[in-house]
Amino acid sequence: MALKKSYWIGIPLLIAGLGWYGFQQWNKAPESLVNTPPSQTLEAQQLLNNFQKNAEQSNQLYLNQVIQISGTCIRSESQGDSVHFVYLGGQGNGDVLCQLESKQDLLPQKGDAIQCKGICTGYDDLTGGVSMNRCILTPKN
Amino acid sequence: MKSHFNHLQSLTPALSPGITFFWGLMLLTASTSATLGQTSGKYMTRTGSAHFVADGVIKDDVAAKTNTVTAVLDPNTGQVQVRIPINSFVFRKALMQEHFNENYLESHQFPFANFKGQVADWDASMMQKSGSQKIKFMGKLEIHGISKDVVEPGTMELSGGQIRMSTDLMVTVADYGIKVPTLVRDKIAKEAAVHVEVHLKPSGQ
Repeated sequence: MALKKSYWIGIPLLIAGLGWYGFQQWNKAPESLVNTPPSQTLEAQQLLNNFQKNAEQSNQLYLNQVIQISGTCIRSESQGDSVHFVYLGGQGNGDVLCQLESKQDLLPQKGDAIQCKGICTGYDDLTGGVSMNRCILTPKN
Repeated sequence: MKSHFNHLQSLTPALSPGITFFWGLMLLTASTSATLGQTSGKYMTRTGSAHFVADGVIKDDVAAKTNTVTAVLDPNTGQVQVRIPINSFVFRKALMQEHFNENYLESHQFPFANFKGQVADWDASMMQKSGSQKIKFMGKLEIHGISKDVVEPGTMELSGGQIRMSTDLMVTVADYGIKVPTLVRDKIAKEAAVHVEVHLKPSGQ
């Protein structure tokens, strides 16, 4: 009798728990990349060179991957209060456009040496540049 | 490139090695610039925006936005190219973003949506007019590796040395070979309402 009673309590609880878990998973917002380790770490100029030399091969290496790049800030800009961009480059043509995940207290200025982690969204041969999004500025080692 | 140098040397036998090197460097720079982008004299941006909504039974959720749209306009001919990185679309829900990239748009295989075409009836005087102008974009829209001829209405406005262009279009999911699993087929809209807006600046700014 006691066993039957515990079924009546346990099964609905289990169903409710599974439902709650599913609901949480379904509504989960995209996670910040703060704690995601990068699959590759390289100089912004190296990333550009690799894409400009062989875009297909570089797509396999970097596209949709969390990567960390370092380089010199060419400029930064904002669109309203919530959309912020930093451009990194080196000596050559093109640059790496990083859209920041969230507002920074202070955007980097031209000439600043910075390090940035984000998802590589690809190489654009219209401009010769690489784009990254959901980026976060990381302290230089 | 070697032939450029040889040709240059034969034309200028009296030049010092330093001057020859300088001209060689200039040729190399010009050649590289021509390969990458060819944006000289054009208007462009890399930070245009695009968003779409594809609400079916599931309301308000199948929507996403990106702010890294590249667009280039040739003011002499009215030719336009737009490129949208698929993986740059951000959704409110992580699971939806994952399905969009991995199952529907397959962004690892088809990383960009592209439009290559023309502003219909382009006239150089359009670059002198103030206020919003109604225009039509004609060309090829490529999504998910499938290209279709499209004609879409849009607007264009000149302001402060910039050109704002925008368009609203309906994209029929099946037209571009995007397969939606049977389980959710009835819950997701068959068409997505897409809005694209770019603020183009003279290249180099």
